[in-house]
Amino acid sequence: LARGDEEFTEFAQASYRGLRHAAYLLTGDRHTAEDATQAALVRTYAAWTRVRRDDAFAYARRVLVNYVTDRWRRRLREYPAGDLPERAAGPDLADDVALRQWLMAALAGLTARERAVIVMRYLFDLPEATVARDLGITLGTVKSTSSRALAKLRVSADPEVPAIGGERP
Amino acid sequence: VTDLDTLRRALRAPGAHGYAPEILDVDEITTLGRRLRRRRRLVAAGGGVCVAAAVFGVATGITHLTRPSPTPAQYPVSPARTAPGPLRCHPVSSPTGAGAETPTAAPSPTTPVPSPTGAGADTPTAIPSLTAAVPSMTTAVPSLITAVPSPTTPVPSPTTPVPSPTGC
Repeated sequence: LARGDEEFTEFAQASYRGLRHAAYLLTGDRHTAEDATQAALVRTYAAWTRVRRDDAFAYARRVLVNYVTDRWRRRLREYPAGDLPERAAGPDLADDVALRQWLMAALAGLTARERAVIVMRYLFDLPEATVARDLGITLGTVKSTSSRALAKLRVSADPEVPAIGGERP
Repeated sequence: VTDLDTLRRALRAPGAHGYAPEILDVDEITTLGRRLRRRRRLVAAGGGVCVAAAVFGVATGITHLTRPSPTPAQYPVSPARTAPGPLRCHPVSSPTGAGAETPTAAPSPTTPVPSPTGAGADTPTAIPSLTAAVPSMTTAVPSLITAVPSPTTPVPSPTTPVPSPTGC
């Protein structure tokens, strides 16, 4: 392997888990998340000579979010066929992941852009300006989208789960 | 613990992949990445060629449009355009090969052409000159026909000199 390939292998092994988790939050489906993660890594490798000196994880994260968003747009033009997609929350999950169950169900009610903003803002802890740059939208759109998404999460919050995004009415 | 901290904790909780083995095939990723990189380079090269062709076409077109048009004296003038006649017809050549006496189909209007009947000599018309060429054709045909021996005509012996088709 060339030196660049060795560096990319180390990067892929180190970042795969985080990217896959973010992809799962964005898509709500395990297999789709794996496909999206691999696609993001492929595109990152294609541009590795350019992004290796910069923040490669930021590039892969941006590619992942945009890939999922584009895939969600394409899915609007597709007709469902075959098996139903995997449900985000199953009834037989353990109690220690109850919070995650609620979260996946709540994220499923958001739009792709709202999910992307929530994941980038509160999973990666990115500032709003970075989110706006990565998603290609304005800062005001990030703020309004985040506020709208938090309001939806607040409405869909389980009574046992603490309120999300502020005081509950 | 604030509400947003709860959201962060929920987002960072191990998901469906929390205990799943990592299936990471780096070789496949690098192979697909090389293929994607090669495709992007081909697309970029093709785009460059298209842009270069478009620029060349635009430059050629602009040069062609901004070039000063040549003066009329620079155009090659054909002899037929020097003195265009009132009637443009192709000259009829005589089958006898007498090109020197081929009548012009478009006589000069200033040249009076006598009519066959002699009347209206002051009215120049192009018709007599055209009909004048026809007799030379009609006169040549009978001489050719007479050269072909008819079945009733005795075939001349090889020693007999064959008459000329033209009758000369």
